Order: sequence, then structure tokens, then C-alpha cells
Amino acid sequence: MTRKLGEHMNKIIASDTTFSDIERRVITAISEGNITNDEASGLPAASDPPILSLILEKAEHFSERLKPDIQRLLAETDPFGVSPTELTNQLDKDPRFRSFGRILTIIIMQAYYQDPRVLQSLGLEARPPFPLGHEMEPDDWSLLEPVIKRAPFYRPA
Amino acid sequence: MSNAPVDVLIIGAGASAAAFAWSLADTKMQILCLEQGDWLNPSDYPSSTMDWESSSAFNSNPNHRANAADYPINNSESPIAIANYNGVGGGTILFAGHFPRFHPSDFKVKTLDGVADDWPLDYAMLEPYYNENDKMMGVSGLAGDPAYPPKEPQMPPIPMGKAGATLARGFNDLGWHWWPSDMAIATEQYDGRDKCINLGACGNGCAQGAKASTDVTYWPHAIRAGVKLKTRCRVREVTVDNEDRATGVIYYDGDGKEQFQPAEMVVMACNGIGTPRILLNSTSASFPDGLANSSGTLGKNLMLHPYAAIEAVFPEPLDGARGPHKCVACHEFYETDLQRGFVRGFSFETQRGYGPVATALRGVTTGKIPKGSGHHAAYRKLSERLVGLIAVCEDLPETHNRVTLDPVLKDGHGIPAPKIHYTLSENSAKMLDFAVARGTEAMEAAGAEEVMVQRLLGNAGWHNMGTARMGTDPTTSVVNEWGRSHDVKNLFMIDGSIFVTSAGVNPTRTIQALALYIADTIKQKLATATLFE
Repeated sequence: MTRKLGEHMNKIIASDTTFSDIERRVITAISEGNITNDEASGLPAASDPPILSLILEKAEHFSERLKPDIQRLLAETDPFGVSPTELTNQLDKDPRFRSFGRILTIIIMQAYYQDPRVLQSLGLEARPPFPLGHEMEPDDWSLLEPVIKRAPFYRPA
Repeated sequence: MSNAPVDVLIIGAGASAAAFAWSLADTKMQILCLEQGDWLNPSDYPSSTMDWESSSAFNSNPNHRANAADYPINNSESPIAIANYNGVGGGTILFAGHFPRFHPSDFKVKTLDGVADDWPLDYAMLEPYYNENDKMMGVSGLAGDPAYPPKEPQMPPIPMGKAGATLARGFNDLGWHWWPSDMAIATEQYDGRDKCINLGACGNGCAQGAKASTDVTYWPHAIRAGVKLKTRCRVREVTVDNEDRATGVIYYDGDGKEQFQPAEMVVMACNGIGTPRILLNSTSASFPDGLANSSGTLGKNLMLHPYAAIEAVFPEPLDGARGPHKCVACHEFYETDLQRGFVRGFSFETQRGYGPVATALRGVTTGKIPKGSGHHAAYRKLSERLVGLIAVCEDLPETHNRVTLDPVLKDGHGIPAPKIHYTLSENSAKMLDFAVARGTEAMEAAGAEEVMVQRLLGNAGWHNMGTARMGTDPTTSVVNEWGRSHDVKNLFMIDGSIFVTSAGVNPTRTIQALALYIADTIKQKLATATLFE
């Protein structure tokens, strides 16, 4: 069930991605700007290759909406002249690119927070919910006692 | 192309259709259901993949999902976007399984509160059908809830968990009502279904089969009893003869070919958006404004349940995404108290927790998790610590809230798409504000470190009601007190469109009880040869 590292990169490389090299560079920079690496915990940035490959795969589904905005970004700004973090901040503040940035942020979070390394670092199980499911602790139903003592309060009709 | 005629033709295979078809099957009539979507394969549900939180194929918004079975909906004139699912099971494929009944007062709002209209039936009349439906769907819960007349769930409640217990302690501190939620989720093996294993992904389809979507509850029984169900059949219009009787429907089959299906009786079960859409598109010399619309109310009085979300960060990790979300409910503010500044009321249901992706997106959207540096530290402060309360507010009927046919937007078969015209009423706005204040109070009493509020959820138009309302007066209602069109004596409606008012709880259990009641009434009238009088 767990994705193999590089699985998505191979898929992207092997497929006819609609994003050009420079468009992919823009997505890479924005990915890094959204989530940088964390040396203390060893967490990767969202531009880490296996995560980036999934981001690009997901972005393919929105390529018709994303490509014109990337081209406009390239034509009207200098996305590589600032740091990835500054680029991401600019997108959030600029009404022309806010929707574009929002779509990419959703994609980036969706890809990043299913990476097994990230989940394990957070103390979460790096597996799908099914088929194992989850154990829940026994409940203390004595909490209900004050409500059980309450008289019915629905309105008869 | 014409098909062999059937006795009963049901359009749509969701919550109401399944119950209705099963009930009517014992008449041995020829019953056919046409569904525009397909059967679902539980192994296709996202919860068996790492990408389980973000599958677009199971997005609740049909415009985003855009599966072949979906039709577009123009939400541009509504602050609430319509949610649904098109396939065998309908909305029950994606619903959370929260399964409350309406309260007795919900059927008498005019008498009790002087607003809207009373229903032409009451809780006592529906109660045996609630009970019958509960057995078929399998309800987990706990008897003894003082907010309701007595009722007996089939199975023990779903886990309260750390999140439910935390909220319960808050409610107790405030002296408020709370109770384990009635859920259409099996907590024991039930009718061939396995028990819930707390996947926490109910909203994307239940791979375990524990959630009572009607493809795994009613439909197998109905089909074994002889009901036919044809998928990938999109109905365009209901046809009528010169005597204003429905003759059948025109639909497009899975190959896109136009077909005619003749029937003695046509039953609309396409939800509060789909039913008026098809009927408004069924025009003729006798019905220039849409079929069964002599009252002019078809499509009007749309009610949507405005939702407020009160989310909070707690100091300790709670349940995260583990377990069904709607673990406990609070009905403290359900009944009218005019001192609150509004009429009618609302319920709170819980959002037990959030998965890793949802946590990130909630954090980024609310500004609690920055992008760039600081992201990781902020994420850890939210991970497994987020819990939500959702206020389900009663929406009252207003004629300007309505469904029309979009003059431009069409589905893949060229059928006009529905357009939603909806504005939030002053009463609903006041109710939302009150609910946000009470929800915040509850979260703080439960020990929340921080509370975040979404006053009106935009992507939450799950409950579509009132657009073909029932009543005894043909000038103000579309169907009579047992679901038959006032205008067309062999045309029935059985979904949420026939609701007179919306109550302040999820409607599926009442939709199904009503469908069983209508089916039973039809059987009684068949026996006395009075069905079409």
C-alpha cells in the first residue's frame, strides 16, 4: 500500500507531462516555499523528489487552469529572482495569483502529508485506514449520568 | 427506442428510492429503477490508499468531482454550494452516517411557533416507518435520550473516543444536553455487513461496508425481491398523455442513446435539486411551466441547513481521524426560545478530528500554520489536537430560495443544469451567530486552547429540501400528504423535495421513513383500487 520512493517521479518522467521544464521549476519553487525542510526533525521540503513527483502528478489534473497562470507569472514577475518563501508570500498577497496559489497549496499539502517519512515523523501510522482500521479506547459512559437524570425536554406535538 | 412497460418506474437510486422499492416489492408489481450513476465497488474507495483524504472522484461537490454520472450545478447565486453523489446509494455513499430523527415539534412549526407550515402528517404517523427503516439500515446508538421520544437503536453506539469525551465534559460543565449520536453505522455484524473498524473515512465511502449506504442495505434486498435496477440511465423528462397522466420517461442509456421507458406510475427520487430539475424540464401544452407545477411552487422553498463550524485546538492529542466523526450530538438549543432572537433552533454534531491533510489545510486556511519557516512547528501544535462542532441550523422555507433551469449550462447530454438561487434569511443569520457563540462557549468549557470559527460553511449543501413540498392545498403545494402529485395522479415524489420544513438535524432518516410511509399508503390504496382517484 505504501508508495515506493520515486514511483511518482518515474511516472511523471515516463508520461507526457504537460508542464514544460520552466513550468515545473516554478511549481518546484512554490512547493519549497510552502513547506521548507526542517533540519532539526529531518523532515524534507515539499520539493523533495518523491513528494514533488506526486505534486506534479496531481497538478496534471489542473494543468488547464495552472499553466496560463504560470506563464503569466513568468511574464509579469521574476519568480526565480526571489527565494521560494518570498515567491509563495507574493502569490498569497497578489490578487492576480491568489487562486493559482491556493490550488497549488491544496495540492502540495495533499502530497506532502501522505509521505511516509512525514507521517512517521509526526508519530502517525504511515498506512491507509483500510483494511486495518483503528482501535479506540474503551469509553467512560458515566459521563452521561447528568444527562440521563434530566427529564425529557422535547416539545410534544 | 421504447422498452417494455413497467408498473412502477423510479428515477434515482439513492436513500428514498431504495427504501421505497424494497417496500413496494412485496406487491409483485414490475418495478424498475433508473439511475444515472453506477454501482460502487468498495475496493475503489480511497480509504485503501495513501491518498485517502484527497480523492477528487469522491469529492462531495459534483462540479469538482465531475464524474461521468454527474451533472453540473450553477451555485453562483448561492453562498452554499450543493453537495451530492450520483450512483447507486446516492448521497448515502458519502454521508457521514449521522442519522437523527426529526423531533415531534418539527412537523408542527406553524402551530407551535407561527412560522412556515405544519406538515400534513406528524411524528406519531411516521414513527412505525422510522422503526422499520431503522431495522433495515441498522442504527447504532443509545436508548434514553431525553431530547426525543423513546426509540431503540439496533446496536451499541459508535466510540465516543477522546474527542467525544472531551466535548461531553464541556457540555456537562455547562449543564447542557448531549447524547451519543444515532448513526447509520454498524457497530456489530448486521444483516451481512461487517462492523465498523474506525477507518475515519466515512465521507469517502466505507470500504469496510459498515456504513449503511443503501447499496449495501436496501438494494440487495429489493433486487432479490424482484426489483430491476438499471444504471447509467440519465432521465431527461417525464412524459404525459392528453389526460395529464404520466406515461413514462425519456432517458439516455449508457451508450448515449435516447430511450423511452413506459410506466403506469412514475416516482421521482432524485433529491431536492434533481427532482425539480427533471420536472421543470418536462414541459408540455398542459404543463408549460414544468410538470406538476400548477401551484407555481415547484423548485421554490429550497431549504439547505446553514452550517457553522466551531473548531478548537486542544492541549493534548485526541482522536485525529480515527473513528466515525459524528460521535456525540447536542440538542440543547433545538426547540424555540424567542429570547434568543430567532425562531426554531439547531443541533450540534461533532467533527471528531482531522486527518493529516485536512489538518494542514485547516491550519493554513485559518493562518494557524504558516507557509515556509515555522510550518513544521505550527503543524505539530495542531496535529491530532483539532476538534470541531458543527451547528446544523433549521432553515425555513422562502419562495425566493429556489432551483431553476440554467439557460446556458447543460450536462453531458444537453439537459439544462439546475441553478441555485439562495440567500441566507435574517432568522438563519441570527441562529448562526448564536450557534457560533454557544459552540465557542462549549469548546472553552471543554478546555480548548484556541477556537476558530467558520460562520457559514460554503461547500456543505448536503441537505436539499422543500422544492416540491407536500400539503393538502394544491395551490400551495406540489404533492399531497402521501407524495402524489396534485396535478398528475400517477406521478409521485418521495425524496427531500417534499419536506415542508427542514428541522435542525440531518434529514436522511426522515426521507426514508417518509418513502416507506408513501409506499405503504400506495399499497393500501392499491388494495382498495383508490390509488389514482
